[in-house]
Amino acid sequence: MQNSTLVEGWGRATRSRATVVTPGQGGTDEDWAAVFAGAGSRGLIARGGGRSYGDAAQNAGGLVLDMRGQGGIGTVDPVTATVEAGAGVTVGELVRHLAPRGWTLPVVPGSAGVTVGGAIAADVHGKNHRRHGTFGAQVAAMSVLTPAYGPMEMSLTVNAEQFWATVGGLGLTGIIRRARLRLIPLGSWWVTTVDDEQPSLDRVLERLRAVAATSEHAVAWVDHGGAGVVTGARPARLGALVPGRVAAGRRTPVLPGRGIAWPPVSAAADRVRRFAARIRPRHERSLAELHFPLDALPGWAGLHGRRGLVQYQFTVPFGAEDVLAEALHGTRSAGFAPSLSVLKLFAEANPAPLSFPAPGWSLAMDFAARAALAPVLDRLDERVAAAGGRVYLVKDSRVRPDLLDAMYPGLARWRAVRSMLDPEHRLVSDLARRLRLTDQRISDLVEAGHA
Amino acid sequence: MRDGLGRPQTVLLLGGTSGIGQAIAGELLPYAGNLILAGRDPEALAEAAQRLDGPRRQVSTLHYDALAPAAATVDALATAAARYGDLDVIVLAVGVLAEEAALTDTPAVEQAMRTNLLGPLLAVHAAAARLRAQGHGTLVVLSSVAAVRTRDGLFSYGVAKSALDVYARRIGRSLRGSGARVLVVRPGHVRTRMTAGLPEPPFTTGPAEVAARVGRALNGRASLIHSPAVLRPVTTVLRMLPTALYRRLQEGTTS
Repeated sequence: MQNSTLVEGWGRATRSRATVVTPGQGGTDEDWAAVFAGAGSRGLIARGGGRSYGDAAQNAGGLVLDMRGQGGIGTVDPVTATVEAGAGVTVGELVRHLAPRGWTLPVVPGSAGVTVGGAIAADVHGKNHRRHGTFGAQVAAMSVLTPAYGPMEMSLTVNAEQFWATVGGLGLTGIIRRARLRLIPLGSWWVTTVDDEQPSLDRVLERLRAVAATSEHAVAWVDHGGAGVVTGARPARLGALVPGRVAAGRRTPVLPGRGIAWPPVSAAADRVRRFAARIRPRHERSLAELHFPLDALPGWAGLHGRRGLVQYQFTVPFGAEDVLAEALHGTRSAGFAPSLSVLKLFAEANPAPLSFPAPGWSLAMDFAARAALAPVLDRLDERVAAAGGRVYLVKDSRVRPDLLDAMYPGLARWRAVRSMLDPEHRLVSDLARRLRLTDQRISDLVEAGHA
Repeated sequence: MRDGLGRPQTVLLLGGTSGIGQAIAGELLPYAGNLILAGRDPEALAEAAQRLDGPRRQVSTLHYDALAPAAATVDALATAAARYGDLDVIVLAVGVLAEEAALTDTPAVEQAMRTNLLGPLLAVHAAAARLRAQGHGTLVVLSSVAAVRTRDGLFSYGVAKSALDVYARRIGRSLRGSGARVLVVRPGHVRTRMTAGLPEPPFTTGPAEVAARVGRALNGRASLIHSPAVLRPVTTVLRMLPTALYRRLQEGTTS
């Protein structure tokens, strides 16, 4: 394949070559059906803003559909409080478009560059899972192009099973074309955030619970010892709805070695964060600054060295706090300092079999991608799975496939729905191959006890 | 697929009884993964499979004969891929070392050339085609420093490795932009079953050293490595030496 393009994960640790195709805006259903027909033996995957840390939107040797041109934002329907958007519209565009009209998305991920299609396929969450659940739960209806049945309308009432297989379905059930999204009224473009420094993991968790119960948004940053800063946010300056300008983050260089994940550097950064929270706990921030902290440093992955970063995000149920402590201590004592560790709190899961959030704690850690980190995270995977937790597939680039059934008990059900929508395996990604997500043959082997 | 930390999931070893090949496979799959040992001798393969087996490693064997027609090589690769999916790394470690004196007649030379030259050449071709279609993967070709400057007693072997070396690097260049890649490895004298009893020249190493070097190179971009690394400048010098002087040196090291 000579006209191939190098397609990278956001963490820059995964990359592969594929033929990238940009479908025209709009296009008839026949045009889109031709896309499936044109996918060769290596299949195709839709790609949005490219904000998956790992290989979810890569397809080595195959076709990658660049969906960013599939835009268009409809008018807000005030009766149902919904808006329709093309799959390629980014959540940043939507939030900015809706704010002056007095509306916003209830759930947004940490980067403004995530597209609507990508947000559904990953079933992303925000810092307010306790209030609103995931992004997928805000989808009133969506139009999905499936290999077996062509265009299909999906919602909670129409094709509900297919709907939930597509929410969090990693783009493997069909190409999401458009979605009607639920909105909530917006009181202010400005929010007040309050930082609260806590000396131990127990205290951080206790405080995070309290803040999540009373604030719209709640998140905590922790250092390797478990001390950290809990941040809550609530609206400020009611009625001020015009989006302020947000300075674009500066491009950062690629650092040599482990970069900022080098333990002395990360320890210094830890001290700076705690100090900053102590001397100035209260800030007025724009909605964009609150929602999209990941966009502040566009070259974040490169700051972890030439090989980029892997993000390890997992969730464990309440009561399994020892796994959080072990993740923080264990990686550090093995010589791998996370450059950033972020805690959130999750409430009820939704019915999507591959959706990540489940009641409990979520810890996300960024590490420089180094081969020797593999056994450390492998052991952590086993602890997480044994505690009834799971890793976040759309951010993953290294979990072992044999742990997936334990982490995602709905996997077999999802595979069954998926294979009805795509019996010929037209939709495939590097992640799907690596985790053998769509591979019936391997699951048969597992059942037969050979794998 | 290789993961975000550079770990391959599936490694195919063509020449499954090769000591260096097995060391490389072990190095590439330290914790988990699928390993397919492909070769002629089922008993030796089964033994090696048992030795390489680990808690999260799946090791299986596959019939592969470098002397068989090209179609059999293509089939072997397809069978391996059907077993576990994409082949992330294919290690080509096919070859026999026969003293020139043992190649008494033309059929014996034919046998040696088919094993060391034609078979591996076809395997390079077939493996490259499969990796190109996959859009990713690395073909590791075990060449030898003998490919650079052949020794008198092993000139058939040297000539075969020479041709294989050139062919593999050439195919490697043709793969640029495909996502797949060829890594040619030129070990010096390595202590293995194949070299047992031979005199040990300077810079002799063990299979583990070669494997470690391949493991590191896989995470980089090199298309040609020497093991040990010092052999690169050494062989460059040797290649430029006048023949008479080279002979004298060789006599000095082997006698």
